Amino acid sequence: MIVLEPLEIPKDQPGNPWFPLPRGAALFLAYLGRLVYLHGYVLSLIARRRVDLRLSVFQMATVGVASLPIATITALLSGMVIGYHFAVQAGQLGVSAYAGWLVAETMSRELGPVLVAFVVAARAGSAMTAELGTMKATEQIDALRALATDPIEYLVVPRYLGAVLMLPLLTFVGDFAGVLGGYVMSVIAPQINARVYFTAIPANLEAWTIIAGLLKTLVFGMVISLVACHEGLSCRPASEEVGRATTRAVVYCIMLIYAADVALTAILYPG
Amino acid sequence: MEPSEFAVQVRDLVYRVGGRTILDGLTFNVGRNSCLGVMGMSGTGKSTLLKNIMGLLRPTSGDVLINGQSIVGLSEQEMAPIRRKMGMCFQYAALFDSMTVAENVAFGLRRHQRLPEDEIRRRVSESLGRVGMEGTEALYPAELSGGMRKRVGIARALILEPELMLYDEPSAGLDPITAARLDGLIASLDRERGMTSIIVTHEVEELFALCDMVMMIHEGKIVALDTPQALRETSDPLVRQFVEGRADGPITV
Repeated sequence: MIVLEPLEIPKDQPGNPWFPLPRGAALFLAYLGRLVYLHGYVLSLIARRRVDLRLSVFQMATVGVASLPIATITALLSGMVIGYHFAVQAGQLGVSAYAGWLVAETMSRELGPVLVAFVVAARAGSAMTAELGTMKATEQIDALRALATDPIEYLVVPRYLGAVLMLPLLTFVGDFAGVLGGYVMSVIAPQINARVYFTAIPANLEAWTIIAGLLKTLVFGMVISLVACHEGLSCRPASEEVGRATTRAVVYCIMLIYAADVALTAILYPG
Repeated sequence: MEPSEFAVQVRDLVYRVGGRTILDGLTFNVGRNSCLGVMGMSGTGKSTLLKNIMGLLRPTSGDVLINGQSIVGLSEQEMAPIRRKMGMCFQYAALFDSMTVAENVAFGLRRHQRLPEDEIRRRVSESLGRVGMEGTEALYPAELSGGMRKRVGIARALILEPELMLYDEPSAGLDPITAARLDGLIASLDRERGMTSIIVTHEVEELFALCDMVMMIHEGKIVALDTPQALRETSDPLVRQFVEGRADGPITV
C-alpha cells in the first residue's frame, strides 16, 4: 500500500527528462497525489458500504464532543474581540446598529469555519496522527493487515466520517458562540449599544451565508482527516518520527485549510 | 484450478529498500502440512521474508504463491480471503494496545465470523488456554510482560485456525519452560490440524526439533536448505559456525 510508505524521492534518483521539476515541487505534487488517492480509496469504501458504524460513531464523539468546549470557547472569544472592533468602527461611521450583523456575517462566512477547523486540526487531527503513527511504529498496522483487515477501512474511514460530519455541527455552534461573544462584549464595553446588537441580524444575514460557511467545513473535515491519517500511516517506525509526523500533520492541515478556504470562498461567495 | 501441492512457493524473490538489497533471489517451496525453519544472523532479512510471504511488503521482483496463487500486486481487498487462512505471530507481538487481551484475541472472529458473544468468549478462553494465558482476558497489553504478549499474539493468530502459520521469533524472550510448552503447541498444531508453519528464529535447537526442513539465510541469500539431520552433519563452514554458535569462522559480526 503506497500510503503506508514514507513519502520520499531518493536523492540519487534521476529526474524525469520530459517533465523536469525541482525536488520540492515534485514532492508537493506527489503528496497531493497521495491525498487524492487516499480520498478516492476512502470514498470507494464508503460507496460499497464498507463502513464500521460503531467505530464511526466513536470517532464522531472523539472529534465532535471532545472538541466542542475548546471550539466554542475559541469562537466565543474571537466573537468578543471582533465585536469590540466592529462596534468602535461602526460607532465612528454612525452605523452602530449594524455591529451585531457584522459579527454574525464575519463569523459565519470566515472566522467560524476556519477557527473551528484549526481547533479540530490541532486537537483531533494531531491525535489521529499520533495514534496511527504509534500503531505503525509498533507493527499494529501490519497486524491489522495480517488479520485480513484493511487499515484504510478500519482506521481511516471512521476518522474521515467523524471529521466530515462533525465539523459543520461544531462550526454551527461556533458561529452562535461568536455572535454571542460579540453581544457579551457589547454589554461589557461602554462603546457598544447592547440593545440594538441583534436587531440588524435577521434582516441582513442570509441563510446562504451560513450554509456556504458550513459547506466549506465539509472540505476542511476531509483535509484534516486525510492529512492526519496519511501522516500517521506513512510515518517511519520510530518514536521521534511519530512526533515529527504529528507536527507535520497540523502544519499541513493549516496550510491546506487556508488554500481550500481561498478557493471555496471564491466559488461559494461569487458576488 | 488444481490445488497446489505446496502451501508456499517463493520464486527468485528480491526485496530492496533504500538502495539496500535485503533479500537477493530467494527460491524455495514449503509443502503442505510441513514445517520450515528459517535461521540466520540478525538483520539477514528473516522477518522481511515473512512479511513478503504475508503480502505486507511488496517484493522488488520475483513471485510469492500461496496455495498456487500469486499474491504479488494484489490489493488489500483481494488479499483478505487469502490472509484469512494465514496467521502471523509478530516478533514484538504487535498487540492492539487500546484493546484488552480478550478483544485482541477475538479481533479476527469479530471481523470475519458472525458468532454469538458466548461462543466468542468460549473460543477466546480456549485459545488463551492453549498458550497458557487463561484468566488474562481483562488485562491490557501494557500490563503484560514481553513473553505474555507474545503468547497472546499467538492466541490471536490461532483463533481463526489458519492453514498456514508464520512465526517470527516465537520463543525469544520466553522462559525455558514456556518456550518448551510453546514448541509443543506448534508441533501439535502442525501434526493434529495439518497446519503448515514457517518459523523464523535464532534458536537452532528449537528449529531442529520442530521443523522438517531448515533454511539458513546469510546476506540475503539461501546458503543452506535441508533436513535438520543433514544440517547437523554438514561440512559447510557457514552453517557449522551458526549451528555450533562459534564466534570465530567465516561469519563476522
